Amino acid sequence: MRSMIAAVATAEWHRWRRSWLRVAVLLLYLGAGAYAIVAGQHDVQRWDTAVTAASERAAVNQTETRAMYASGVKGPADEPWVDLAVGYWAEWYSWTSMSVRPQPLAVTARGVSDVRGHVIRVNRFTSAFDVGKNIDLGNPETQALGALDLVFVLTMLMPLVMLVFGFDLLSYEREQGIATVLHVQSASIGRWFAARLIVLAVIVLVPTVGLWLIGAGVSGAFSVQAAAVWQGAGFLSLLVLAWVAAVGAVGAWVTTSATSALTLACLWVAVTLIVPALANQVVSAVVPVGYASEVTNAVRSEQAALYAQPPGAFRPAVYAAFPGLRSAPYAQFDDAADSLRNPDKDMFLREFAEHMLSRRAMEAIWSREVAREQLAMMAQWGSPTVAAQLALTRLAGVDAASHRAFEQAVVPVVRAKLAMLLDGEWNNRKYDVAAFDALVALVPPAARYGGTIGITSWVVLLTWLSAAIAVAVAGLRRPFLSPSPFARFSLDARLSQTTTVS
Amino acid sequence: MLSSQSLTKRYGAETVVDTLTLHVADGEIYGLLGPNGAGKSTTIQIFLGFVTPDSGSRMVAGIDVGSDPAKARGQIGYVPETVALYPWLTGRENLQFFARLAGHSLGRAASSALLARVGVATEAANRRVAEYSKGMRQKVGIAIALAKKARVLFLDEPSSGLDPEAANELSALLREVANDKVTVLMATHDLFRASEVCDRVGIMRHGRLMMETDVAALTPQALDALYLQHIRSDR
Amino acid sequence: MIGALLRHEMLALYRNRRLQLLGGIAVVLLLVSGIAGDRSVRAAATERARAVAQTRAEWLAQGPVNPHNAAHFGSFAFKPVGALAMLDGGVDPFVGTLIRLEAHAQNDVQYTAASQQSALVRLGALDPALVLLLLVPLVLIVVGHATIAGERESGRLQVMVVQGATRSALFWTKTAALWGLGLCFLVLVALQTLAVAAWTGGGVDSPALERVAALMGVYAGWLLAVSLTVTIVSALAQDARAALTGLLLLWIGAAIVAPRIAGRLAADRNPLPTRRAFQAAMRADREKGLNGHDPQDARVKALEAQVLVQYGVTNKKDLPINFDGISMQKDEEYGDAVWDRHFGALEQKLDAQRSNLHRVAILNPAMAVRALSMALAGTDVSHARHFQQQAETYRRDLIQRLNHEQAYGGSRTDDWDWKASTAFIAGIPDFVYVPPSLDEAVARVSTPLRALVAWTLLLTVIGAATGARLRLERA
Repeated sequence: MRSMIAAVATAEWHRWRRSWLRVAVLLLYLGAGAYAIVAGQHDVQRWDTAVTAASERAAVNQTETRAMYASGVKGPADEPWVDLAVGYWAEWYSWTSMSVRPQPLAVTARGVSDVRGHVIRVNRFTSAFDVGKNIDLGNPETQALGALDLVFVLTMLMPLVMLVFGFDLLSYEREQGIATVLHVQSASIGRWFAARLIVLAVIVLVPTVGLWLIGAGVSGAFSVQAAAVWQGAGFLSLLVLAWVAAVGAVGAWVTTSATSALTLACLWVAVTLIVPALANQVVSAVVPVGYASEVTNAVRSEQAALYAQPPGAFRPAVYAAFPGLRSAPYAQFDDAADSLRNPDKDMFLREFAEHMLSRRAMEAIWSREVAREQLAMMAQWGSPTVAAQLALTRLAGVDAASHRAFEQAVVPVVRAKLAMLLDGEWNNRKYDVAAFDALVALVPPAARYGGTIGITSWVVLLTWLSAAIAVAVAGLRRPFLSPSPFARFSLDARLSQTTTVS
Repeated sequence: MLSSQSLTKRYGAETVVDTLTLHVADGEIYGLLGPNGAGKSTTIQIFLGFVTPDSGSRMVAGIDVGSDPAKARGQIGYVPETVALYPWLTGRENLQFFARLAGHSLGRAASSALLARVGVATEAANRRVAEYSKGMRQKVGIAIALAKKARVLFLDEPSSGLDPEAANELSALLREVANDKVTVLMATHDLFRASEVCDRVGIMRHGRLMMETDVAALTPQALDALYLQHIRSDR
Repeated sequence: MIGALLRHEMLALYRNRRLQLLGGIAVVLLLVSGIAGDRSVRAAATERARAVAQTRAEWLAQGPVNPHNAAHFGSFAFKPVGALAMLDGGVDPFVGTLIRLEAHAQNDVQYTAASQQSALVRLGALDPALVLLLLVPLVLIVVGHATIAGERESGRLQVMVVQGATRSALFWTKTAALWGLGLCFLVLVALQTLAVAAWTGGGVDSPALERVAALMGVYAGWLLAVSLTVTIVSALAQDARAALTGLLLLWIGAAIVAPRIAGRLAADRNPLPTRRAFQAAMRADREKGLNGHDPQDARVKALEAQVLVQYGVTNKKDLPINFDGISMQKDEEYGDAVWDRHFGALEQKLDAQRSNLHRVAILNPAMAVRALSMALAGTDVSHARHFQQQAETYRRDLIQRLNHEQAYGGSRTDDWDWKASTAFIAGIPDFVYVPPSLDEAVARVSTPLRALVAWTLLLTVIGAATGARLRLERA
């Protein structure tokens, strides 16, 4: 077998060095990958810069606020109504923001990162759907055109490269009569066929995985996401093998080069364009996006209804959430007349109710998002391209789940702020710089989100690979001179037969 | 050595090879003559192991093709009517590639020697096959068979499309190959070449071997008359 | 002669097994995409109607309310689904569905479909536009790449000319046959659209019918350009295999790869500011103006002095009107001017990006068709911005009415408990979006339209020349 591979590799080398088309296609593929890496780096740098700028802005403002505490002033000179010793003013001037930093592998994919938010200023009024207001300015027209990112190049253009290099595998030999000689010369045409596929796999695998590793390298992913890098490399290798097997399956059954090229082109169109587009259409029809009425209700009508109720109406929910408040000094005023109650302390009861309202709204939206994604995940069974897109965007941290994790992380932070403010206010505590720092510390530093490739995606590719190998083996096991079942789709039926019977 | 015993092959109602029994000795050149549709190519395909006969047996270099077609093919060289080579490879590269498939690694000197033996000069050997004439392709095809050290050589219509000079060269080459005790069977309807190069000929018609004869004693005109007599006679 | 050639071409197409298989698949996809798209659009329209009704009901349920509170209560404008979104979803997944309308703030259109979906959204949706733009041309390539090259290879082309067919007649009948095949798919789309409209009871009104007709015209032109390209390449290629390779590469490059590169380049050449920079610039300009919420603001003080003089009093509490309403309206007008300036600059950058894309469309007719299709379907960025502008106009009118009522409706300065009547609140009309006319929509895509026409004419000229000099002998 080694000698067979060597023979085939030598013959391929000679073919390549005389074929400007093959070299051009390979160079175009590498060029597209390089362009995608550079463009991805530019996008990630812009994202990273925005996050760093937000952190630095917050740090500057926090330093100014600490200086005010140190000098004993109540607040900014031009805002005499501010008293930093009061919790809600201390919180307002804590200038905390939450952000999501790009994973290094975000260089390889845009995913949904340009339509989801990255930075949100967090105060006690913040709701998770405020994140959506902080998407960077974008042009829907360019967004709709799609991104030429590395994942696109490696998952959608790679099969086309494979098609150019391997569409006439065995069909050319059959058309030219070389197949018979091959069969006579070699112990088994199956081994020759396998050798051709191995050489084809190497020709496509090396630049594909190479581009991925280069993208990971220039982004510094090896030091931060080494496991993800190698996972991605392994996944892409499996994807290449699945397509090689598909080429083999077609080559084993189809006897003319033109029909073979068309079959592979149609297969590419089906799994790369039709199945994903159809899946999108079905998902939108089954779980429509709607008009975010949960949001509109939470922002307006239900919130207005909250203001129509007395603050005491929210007390049970607040005590249930923060039982320790029952022993706070202000708790003894629970049954006091309104004239004895402190509106500055009572307003937190309503704010907590607003927080719970917006949280319920977002959870409804998130649950529909998850339902949509689960449906979309099913589409990967029909398309290795979909499986690859979902898997690699997950690794890069630019998938919907990663962004949703960030949005969901905002909720407990706001709750923690409310808890601290409620506790301080109801226990009559004054805020000093230590308390201010404790408020600031409630907000975690910018985090990275992402995940690993799910087992389902691996199984999908393995299934495709196995199915294609089975089809290829079945095709090769047919009697050597038997006509192809695809002969009826040839332009010239004579071309489907390797020899004439005389 | 090449032999068959009562080989029969049918496609539907049509019998394309009918109880074919023949024996070709080592170093013998046997010409299988007959009109189009006589069953010559099918007979070759059966010996190559690509077509399974409905009955009968065939042996190539002492190996039963039906039992072990792969082993049998290890002893066979095959030159089809249209010599199938990769056009983007040179003659030398094609030879080296196909030889390697058969497990024989040929270096530059060995490939040059072999190509020179079949009449392909070194300069031509380094040109791409796309530029070759049919005669040169035939020569490379034979070189491929020789590189494999095949004991039996099958040729299908080898002189078809060759000019007289190329055909003469081919005849001389085949004689030389046969002198190395290689069994040669060539299917042809070129009676002149058959009379020139073959030791014996068999005439096929409607799948049947109508007659066999030594050629040495026959003139080309006599062979011609014998051929016409047998292909025109009723069954 | 022409009739005989055409009949022969149609018979060849009819018996073409590849066409039977691929054409059948394309028809099924068209039907599925049309039905699924229609369902999505109708569901979205139903939900929009419900959201609009609910929003209106909430507005009316305020009862007697202080106008400034009502201004903060605000309203929502819900983006309508594009007139022909079932045919071409366009950029709708990347454009938000609602705008919050409130005092002191001009909000963006929010909650894009793409922001609530998986990364699959990047791979597009299967609508009839995708089928007509990408899949039907592929069918024409599969069926037509050997239309001349194959005939030449087999030697039949020479025989036909010997029998009396002219080269040009051969070329044009083959082109016409391919175009006719493409038009069959187009007719199917048109019939499906009308059938669905009739079945759902909504019917197709005159403006929509005009857009459907224009859309069919655009795609007819596109399919003619594709048919000409296929026949020309088949005529010029060395053999059928080379023709197929060339056409497939052209299709992949023009329809799949080039749009993504164009989008990237357009964004890079005219980059938009970051949101932070944009908001910081707006804020900086805003702070230079009047602050209606700060009674100590110098400009408010100046305005107060002016109004006091106007009414001949010395203290704003003595004014017969509510000064707060006047100052808030001035605040609002200043904010509007700041918004107009900054959003105007942003619009210019977006226009520059769009111009870049349209320039690329000059070189790539697939992109020209895409731009035209979205514009006619009402799902391009221009329609989204038209909606945003109308919503902003409504917002300004709404706030002005509320501020006017605050100022002149009977309350006095600092009287924040004063409430406007229910009748006043109910008298403020709801937001009704009026889409642009067909002429307005087409005017914004004049460059792609001219590009498509130019390409079709150019290909026709090239086709005429190619047909007249048709090579008959094999290479």
